[in-house]
Amino acid sequence: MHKLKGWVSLEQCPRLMDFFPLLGLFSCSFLIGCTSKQPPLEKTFRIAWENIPRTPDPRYSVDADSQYLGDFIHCSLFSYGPLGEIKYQLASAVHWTDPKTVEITIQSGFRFSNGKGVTASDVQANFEYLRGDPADPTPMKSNFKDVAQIEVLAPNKVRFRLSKTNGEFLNFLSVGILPREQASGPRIGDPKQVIGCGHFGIDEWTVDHIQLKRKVENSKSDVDYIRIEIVKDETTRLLKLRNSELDLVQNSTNRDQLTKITEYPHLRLMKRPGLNTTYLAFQYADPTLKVKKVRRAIAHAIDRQKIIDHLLQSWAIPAATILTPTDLYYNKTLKQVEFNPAISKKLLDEAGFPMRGQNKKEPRFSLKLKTTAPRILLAHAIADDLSKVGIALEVESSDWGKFKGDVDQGSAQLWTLNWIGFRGPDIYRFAFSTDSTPPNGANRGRVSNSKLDTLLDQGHQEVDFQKRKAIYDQIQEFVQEEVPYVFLWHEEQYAILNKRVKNYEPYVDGRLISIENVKFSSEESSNH
Amino acid sequence: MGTYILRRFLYFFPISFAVVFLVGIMIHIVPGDPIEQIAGDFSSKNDRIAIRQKLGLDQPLHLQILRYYTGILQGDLGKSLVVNRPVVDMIAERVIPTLELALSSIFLACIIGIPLGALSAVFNRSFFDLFLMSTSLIAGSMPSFWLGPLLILFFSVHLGWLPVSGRSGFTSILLPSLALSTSIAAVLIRVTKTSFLEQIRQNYVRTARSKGLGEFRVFIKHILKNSALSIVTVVGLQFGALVTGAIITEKVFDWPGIGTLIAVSIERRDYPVVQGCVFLFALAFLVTNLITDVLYFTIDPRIRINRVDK
Amino acid sequence: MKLEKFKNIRLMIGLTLLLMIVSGALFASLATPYLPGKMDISQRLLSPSPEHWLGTDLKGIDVWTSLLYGARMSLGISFLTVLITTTLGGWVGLFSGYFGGWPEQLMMRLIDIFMAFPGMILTLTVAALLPPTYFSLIFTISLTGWIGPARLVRGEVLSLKERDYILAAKALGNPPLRILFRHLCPALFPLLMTQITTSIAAVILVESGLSFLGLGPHGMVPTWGQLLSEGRTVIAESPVLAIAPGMSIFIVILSVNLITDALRDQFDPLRKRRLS
Repeated sequence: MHKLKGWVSLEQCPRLMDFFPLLGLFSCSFLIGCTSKQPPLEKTFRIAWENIPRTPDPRYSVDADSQYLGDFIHCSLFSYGPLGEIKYQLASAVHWTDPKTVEITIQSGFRFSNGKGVTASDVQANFEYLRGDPADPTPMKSNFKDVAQIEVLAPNKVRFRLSKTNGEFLNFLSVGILPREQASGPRIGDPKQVIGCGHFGIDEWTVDHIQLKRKVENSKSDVDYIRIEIVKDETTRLLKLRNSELDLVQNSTNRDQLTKITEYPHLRLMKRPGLNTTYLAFQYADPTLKVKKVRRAIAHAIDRQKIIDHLLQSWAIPAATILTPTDLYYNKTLKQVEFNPAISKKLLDEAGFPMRGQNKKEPRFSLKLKTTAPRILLAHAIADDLSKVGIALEVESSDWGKFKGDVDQGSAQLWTLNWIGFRGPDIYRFAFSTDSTPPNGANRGRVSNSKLDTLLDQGHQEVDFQKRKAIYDQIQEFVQEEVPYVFLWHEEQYAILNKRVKNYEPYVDGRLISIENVKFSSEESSNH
Repeated sequence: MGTYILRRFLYFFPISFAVVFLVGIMIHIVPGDPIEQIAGDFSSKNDRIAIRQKLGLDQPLHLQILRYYTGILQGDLGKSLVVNRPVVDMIAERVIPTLELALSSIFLACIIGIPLGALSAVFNRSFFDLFLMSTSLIAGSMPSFWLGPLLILFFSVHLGWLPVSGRSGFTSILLPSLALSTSIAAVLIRVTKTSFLEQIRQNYVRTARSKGLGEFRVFIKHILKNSALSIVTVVGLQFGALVTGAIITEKVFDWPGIGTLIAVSIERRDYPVVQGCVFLFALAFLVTNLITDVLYFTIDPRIRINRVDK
Repeated sequence: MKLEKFKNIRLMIGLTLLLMIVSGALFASLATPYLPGKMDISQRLLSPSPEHWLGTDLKGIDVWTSLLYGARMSLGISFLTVLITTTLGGWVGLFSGYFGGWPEQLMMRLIDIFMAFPGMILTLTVAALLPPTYFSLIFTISLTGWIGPARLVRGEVLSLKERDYILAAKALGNPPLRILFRHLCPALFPLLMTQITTSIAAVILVESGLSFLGLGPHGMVPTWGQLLSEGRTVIAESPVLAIAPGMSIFIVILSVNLITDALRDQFDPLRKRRLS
């Protein structure tokens, strides 16, 4: 291509030469164009999320980011406090007239962004849509399948009648409320059209950031704008925090970046117990993993404490069950599975995998997980532990779409995942009941045990706390004995903040709602 | 010429069809279901079937592809499965950032590469020339995914001068375009030098000099003008490569361009968006190739058009 | 004169660098006391010391050891890939160029399809969809990799075909296959050797790029690309983890560029004349 000769007549050239200044002009105009106007820094809280929320429409919010966003722009009947406890938001009183009927009174102070007050009729419309049969069924439909009727008793009172008792029902009512005319209409496409009753409204919504603007005055806070940037890469998010481009990074999985981050004078670390459980799951359809001794051997072979100490900066506690120790339903009599390679080897030998001798047989599995660098490292550490008792574990990572597909179809032998922000012990039914085999739930390991199923159903329908607790104590013991999961650890929640941020409180489920109470101090906020 | 362009365009349809078809099949075969992304964990089997029907994903693959093509002919690239927006809109809002990055990189490469190349031609075979040639060789060998993080480390983390990533104002475009333009500048230095040296030896330059024209005027009026041809061609080619090839740099700097969109959509199994991007890339590729060919032809009619087919 | 010297120096530097890397890969076990992929999470992220020249990485593996064995992986993978693409592309080009007719038409249309498409996008899409194994990595890169050699060989065969000695061999009544193997193949050899050298660098670049995007395999013995992508996660804390593997990739590409540059000037008299 460089064989062009310079024989062309001179007259032709100026036209081509015009290209250069034009190019420059173009670039300049673009550069000016991309310098967007930003609100004042002292009024703006800056955070970064991995993904743009799928939708601001609360009826279709299933991803965590959409739900975190919903906290700011919507109000709901119930919400959750810093420790994950359910609390009233829009609701002011709850009255169970019988185990299947609940009457909820609505506060008067809440207003939509169009100025109208939130009424029982709006609430009814939202839940009718969620349980109903619209052209575009909502992802939350199955939560409301036991709802027989929703009635407006008064402008501020709504009644739900259930066809079956359900101990978890109030948890399902923490969905954001839209005004009646939007709630009964189709899914909202344009984010700016959403009319919410939360403290913030959507100001800008672009490919790379969302900006929220405060609607309801709050003299206790300096935050008038929340700017959410979309930053895919975790490493980059932390670098941006160090560079004072962000005010907060919460629950990054990359803990190695944190070793020195606390040495920075402009950053501050806050820690709280977390509401999450990381586990290693087994596929029961696999002939080898079906054997309980093999599963137990694997559980005893993993040195969780060492991994916690060295890979998680000790910011985690070993887990014994799905529920965290602070949970009301946590069974305090559970003991941690002991790290003991000798027991593992013995169990493997008994299961038909002798370590030495003529018929030496090495079990070989693949471990699937989602591709994120720190998780892959954890998986390698587990594989390393297992190799010491003679189990070969191959680590296979893939993107979320493929990983989820593999796991749901049952084509993964072992995999690691975590439960985050779960509410109440019904999670056991969702994870282990025969009815919950994907796509109807998350029993991805195809656990099927009639005794467990009976217990799970009893627990689900029981409304008395003491009786319910007794059932779930039994379930937790049973699960520990059965080993469908190796429970690995509960990670601590933490937030790293720029020191200019005051009054921030990390929530146990990772939600960011406390941003709306933040005050900014004039303390040095820059690193340089 | 006209028939040539027409023929290229006629080629485009079966080719793009094949490409979109292949991508479509691959995405469908691989495990991972977009319904997962839409429905979430808590929906029942029947709901999933309903969603599938509504989106037309229950139809046989060939019908889905046929429908997709009738859509394209009507200027409709379909709707995203996950965010429920027209694919055209999603791509459109990312075209500007992508072009912005490509243009500023090219601009930066030009203002670095062309003057340096000219200087190195003027001082040909001097120590300065040797130094420049070595530098351009070194710069041209740096992988962008290494250079990018190093630039961030130095300019953002250590010095704190420039933002780490994102697209917010003038300062944020400097690092990504620097990362992209380094290798282009390296190419430009060499091309400029070669074509300048070629011009300097031409007879008309000698004539101009002997007419008593000043060195500077000779340089501007004759050498620069005539060399512009090959430089423009190279710039054009590099620009085409930039528009499609900046995925890694976009990722390093979280630049909200088309590359980022395609990466996210693959992960979410958002078929229509992936297909739309792929289709658009194929089209952009065709157009840049065409422009380059036409440019060649206009510059030098002796270049036979069948060069492309060889 | 100076330029001539520069050219020779280029060749020398290029060859020396490449030789260093290749011998590092071949004799990895002699250059380090540690075994590859032996992780010890209690020894993570140590600073450089006499025991660990470049410190240890996120898994507690000696970085120097990882680099040496990584060279083996990276060079090995790309050599294998290039071998596949060159063999495949070479044969396709040879047959279609020599025999012409419908196989040639078919090949050209196939190449058109691939060429109508930015290669990196196709590679990325395929890589993202296949499971992250070494096999799919090689497959993905080979998918578009054969086109270069095929076009190159075809062009060369088209011109060789008209040379007198081939025409003579034909006139003597030699069967086509004999001409292919006895006369054409040897003539193509030098061309293919240059092609292989440049392609190896190109494949290392693609492989590292894919690994960097998280689309590569995650074996216990990582390639340079994987090391770089792991290292980037702690770039501000332990920069050496990202700099060292990146530097290795850079050196390979630089040395190949140096060599091919010098060789091209050597074998392209027109260019040589122009430059001196």
